[in-house]
Amino acid sequence: MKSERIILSLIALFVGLLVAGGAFYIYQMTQQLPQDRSDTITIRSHPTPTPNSNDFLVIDSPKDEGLIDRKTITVSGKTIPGSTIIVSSESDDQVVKPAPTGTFSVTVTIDTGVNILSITAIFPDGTEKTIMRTITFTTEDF
Amino acid sequence: MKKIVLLLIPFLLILPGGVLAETTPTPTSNPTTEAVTEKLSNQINDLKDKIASRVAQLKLVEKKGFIGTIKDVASNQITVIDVAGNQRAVDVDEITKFTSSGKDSFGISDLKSGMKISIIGLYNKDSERLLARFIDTYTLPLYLSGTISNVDKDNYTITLSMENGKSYLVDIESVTKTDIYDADNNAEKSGFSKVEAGVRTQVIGYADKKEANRMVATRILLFPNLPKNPKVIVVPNAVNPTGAAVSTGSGKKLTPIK
Repeated sequence: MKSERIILSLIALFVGLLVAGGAFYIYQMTQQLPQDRSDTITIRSHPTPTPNSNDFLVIDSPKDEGLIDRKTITVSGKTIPGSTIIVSSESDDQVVKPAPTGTFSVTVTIDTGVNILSITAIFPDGTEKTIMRTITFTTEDF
Repeated sequence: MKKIVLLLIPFLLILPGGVLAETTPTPTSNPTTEAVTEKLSNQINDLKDKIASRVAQLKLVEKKGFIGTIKDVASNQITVIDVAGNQRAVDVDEITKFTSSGKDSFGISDLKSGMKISIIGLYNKDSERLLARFIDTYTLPLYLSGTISNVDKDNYTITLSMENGKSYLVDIESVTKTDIYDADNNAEKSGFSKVEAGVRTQVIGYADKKEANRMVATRILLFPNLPKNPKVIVVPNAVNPTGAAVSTGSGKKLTPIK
């Protein structure tokens, strides 16, 4: 008799838990985010040059018109393997070959203030592509 | 008894969750506690709004620096054409500092249309305007890549033919630094005597103020081992970009590359 009571109590508890869980699930399903707290994100696809194109040169860093607080800057990017990369600032030149994967990274010195960097890739077929970047070296706080 | 034990095992596994769920605090109906909770909630919301506003402000404004040619100057606004050819609006206020090399006093009234300036300031992504903090006059450097088509040993000039079909007459000065690069891209100091027509070259310098398509070189990088650019047609020692046809000695005049 005593064991039957325990079993019945446990079954009742289990049923209760099921009902409570079901009710909570239904409540959660009915909740919606208010319109003013939601936002629509549109992802546009931009065609990016592929390493197969004849004039492939992409500069990952530095960002154009960016500010830095050091006199040296690392220029990194990707081009066709076997190319020659010439990076020139107003006071420094660096010439490098990219890695077999086409990636390159080179450090150049820049002057105080606004600088123009010229990054030229001379491809194995002799053609070339130049990308310019405007970079500012300043320690001013504004 | 065994049946009971078997039935008990799953319930014992479920029970802790149920117990935890039951221990979740429930809001009390005490009016004092409710008032405190509401006040705290309002304070948290205010703080959240302030943080969100500051984050949005920081994301909206970024420090930028660029170079351009003045198109128009007003009392507190400058219109500039940047190096990419885009028109840029620059705002000026009482904090903006104006400088020009060799001049002690320089201000917005000294800026004229056609002047080249560098601007550093705060760019508003929303309005696409830059609030200038520093404005300085600027001499735009030239970075030219091409092939030497002529070497004038008497006048210390070279002619550089480029991929776009244009040619530049490059003046070699005593301050001009010349480097020659080998196949492994190791640089070696060179001189004007080693400059030859047909060599792939990078020239860095400044435009001649009086003559178009003429520049003064500060640095010359020679790459004799790099492949020739098929887009550059070079007739060695036969081009004079100043316009005068060069005599071949046979009476036949050659036309300069343009």
